[in-house]
Amino acid sequence: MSQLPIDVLSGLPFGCVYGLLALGLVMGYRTSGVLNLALGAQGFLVALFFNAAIDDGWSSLVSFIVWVIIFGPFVGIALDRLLFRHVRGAPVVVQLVSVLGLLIAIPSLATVLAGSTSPSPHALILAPSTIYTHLGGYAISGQAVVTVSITIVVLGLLSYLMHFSRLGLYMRSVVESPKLAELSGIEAERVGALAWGLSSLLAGLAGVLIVPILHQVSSFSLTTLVVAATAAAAVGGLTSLPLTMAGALMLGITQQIIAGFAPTGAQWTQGLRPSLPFVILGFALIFHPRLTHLAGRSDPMAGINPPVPSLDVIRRQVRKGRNSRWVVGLAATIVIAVVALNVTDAWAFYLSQGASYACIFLSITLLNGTGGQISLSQASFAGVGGFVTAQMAIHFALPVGAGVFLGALAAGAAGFIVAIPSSRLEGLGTALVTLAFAMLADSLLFPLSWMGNGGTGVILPRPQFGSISFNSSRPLLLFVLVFLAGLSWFVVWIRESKLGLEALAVSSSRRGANAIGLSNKRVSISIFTISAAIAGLGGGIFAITDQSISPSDFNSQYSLVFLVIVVVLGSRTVYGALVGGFGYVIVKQLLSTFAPQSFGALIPLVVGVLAISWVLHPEGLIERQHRYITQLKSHLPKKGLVAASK
Amino acid sequence: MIENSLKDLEKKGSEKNQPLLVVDNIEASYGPFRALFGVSFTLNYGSSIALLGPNGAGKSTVARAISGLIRPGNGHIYFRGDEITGKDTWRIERLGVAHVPEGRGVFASLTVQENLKVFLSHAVPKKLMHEKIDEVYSFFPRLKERSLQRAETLSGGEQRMLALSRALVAPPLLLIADELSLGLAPILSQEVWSSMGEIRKKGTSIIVIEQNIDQAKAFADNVVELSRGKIVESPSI
Repeated sequence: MSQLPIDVLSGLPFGCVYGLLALGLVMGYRTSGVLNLALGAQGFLVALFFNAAIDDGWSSLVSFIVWVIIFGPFVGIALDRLLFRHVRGAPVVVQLVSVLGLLIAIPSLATVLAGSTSPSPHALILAPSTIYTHLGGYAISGQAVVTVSITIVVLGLLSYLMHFSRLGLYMRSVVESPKLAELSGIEAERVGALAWGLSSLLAGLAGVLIVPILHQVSSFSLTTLVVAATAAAAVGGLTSLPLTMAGALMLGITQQIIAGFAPTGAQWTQGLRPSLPFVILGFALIFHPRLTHLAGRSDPMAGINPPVPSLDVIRRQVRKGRNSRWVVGLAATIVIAVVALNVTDAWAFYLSQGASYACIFLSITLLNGTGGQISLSQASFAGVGGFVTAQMAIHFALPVGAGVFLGALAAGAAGFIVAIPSSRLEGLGTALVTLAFAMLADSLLFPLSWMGNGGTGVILPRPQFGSISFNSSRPLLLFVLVFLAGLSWFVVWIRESKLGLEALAVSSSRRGANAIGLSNKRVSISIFTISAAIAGLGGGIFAITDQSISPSDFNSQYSLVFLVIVVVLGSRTVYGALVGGFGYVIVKQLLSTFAPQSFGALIPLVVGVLAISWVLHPEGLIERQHRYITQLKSHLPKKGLVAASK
Repeated sequence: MIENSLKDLEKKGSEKNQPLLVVDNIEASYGPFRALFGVSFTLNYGSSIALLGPNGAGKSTVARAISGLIRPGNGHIYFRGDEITGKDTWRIERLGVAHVPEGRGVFASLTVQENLKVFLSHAVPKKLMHEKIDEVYSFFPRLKERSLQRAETLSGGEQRMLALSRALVAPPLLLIADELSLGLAPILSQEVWSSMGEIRKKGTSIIVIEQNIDQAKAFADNVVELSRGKIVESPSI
């Protein structure tokens, strides 16, 4: 038997696991409009308890019934009650951030509950490595038989449910408009909960089936698998179950073929196999007709619960005069000088790091707060900026300052390339394209020798301007703070410039902006490119502060965490980015210095819970406080809100 | 299945000329915006009321409060003597209140036939579903021609007919029709009003919300006029 059929057969179990996860994603999306990227974390949770129970002496069948069949759907139903039903019909960024919160919180919660020791991987029903038969030259293992059989049964049942049953019809009506469905006597919340239970069951099945293949119980692997499975879901337009399954099988099989045929040794070929799903995801998003308008889910009853009016409406009533800006600027300068001259060297270093994160966070302020766009690749742009800064200093002996500038240009160029396809999309589509780029950067771009030095990272010197050396941390902190102040001013300036106003118009209504002659593409691409360049600047500052940069400093998961931090604090104000940047480093440092080691697992849990709670105050914590203070001070909201209603 | 149908009422026969719906001093808000300030009126079995008023008067808010889409901040709503204030929308629908909302009012991504199945799912027994769908098609032959098309491909008038079809073939105790003729060509508007007449003949009580004052007055037994969330005129109640 030639190699190709063997690769095809060996790719089937992988394709089936992708398929189960992708079907779970589609089920959730079709019934709630929420793309649950936390499905991998749910699968991890089930797989963890399933395997831990077998370690404790349970039989695999009992463990399967308790953890996969009962606990799995229970997790989905509980999450629906706590979260998903509250974000149905909410803006995409609200849905995405709450889901990212789950993605961050669930593995952390699992570690707290089950301990940090990973259980041994166990198989379901048949022994995974036992060979039951041969098909041509391919040995069919117990794992392959179980995985493929379960997937076929699940696909059949789901297809019947969605296309021929009354419940399936209810599910489809609820996703379009829960309120309209309720007007027809359908209990929308119960239908949604059932769908989430099913989706979670699929995630648990996938988790239990993939663990013996991967030989480990890992939340990171399952999360990456879910993002890869998103490619399969995208092939099915996030709606078609058969096409989703076909896409998943194609993905699993093609990956095996690549692994079998691609030349070994070269760095790029090693990254090719894991990159394939993200390439497919990017292409599907750009060319699939159903996916170009993912933001256009129109609930005819959406007007019943209008969103909270933007603080901008209120602010326009109390727009700060130039004098008050000068006062703020002067106060900031005094604070910077006092802080930079009085902290210890160690804290000067930490605060410089915080400032570099704040620079990266400002890119999210501009992109999301002004442009209304969602990017899940800002850390990757920061990585591009940081690596180019370092490589320019090491290989071309350029001054580090010039390297930072070139790094920002390179990040801007990468942003421009990503912005072109993403400008054709809206909301969730943009988020997924950027996520695909972030994953590609992880697996293909950063490991390259001329970028991340083969994955080992790059070491670079601190800058030197004439006789001023920044080798000591305090002068560096002063420099970085002044740089951050300038960048903050730049972001505010962009927001109030013609481009900023155009971006606000486009983010409020693309059709409306088009109607007054604005080019959505030009505006979206411009804001995205500038934002990527700002992230690149932040990455460069991070590199010179740390004097090194490695792919693990800016992997795709950081992009998710960065987005969560900024929007939870408030993406419509630069204060959100500043508080986020410094707060991120200070809290991390304080905990590692003063708190017991076990607290480490709680940090993601707290970040996750904050993200989930953000549903209650989507304007951000800082803006929320500002709103309260404004209300207390002058009762201006009344006028502002009347203005908003007109 | 709907707990109260017109047939049940006919059997009882004693509730005619009794209040079907009592709206008592309700107030409602959208976040910080106050939309209703103490609205009260009563609707008897088999009668109809037109809620009139300019944009922003609070007409649709009254309808939403009755059908449970929004929870009134104050006041009470009674349906057949039982308080329904703040109850879930689906529970109120199952008591016999059908609300055809302003705007599209249909599931755009579902086919015409699927829309009908959803609309009728709790209004008719499962075994009668096909019979009732055929009945809708006999009222609106154009819907039959488009039965496998997605509802978003229908014209505005056809979408209104689809939205009204549930009330036509499974008459509820109370129909709330919100701006049904808005934006329709006169001939289509006439068709919609004629369907409303058919529904009324079957004994359904109707609250009609309209900006076309003449049409509404001609149709309804009573008129309640709202302005800025308050009743400014209810002469015949």
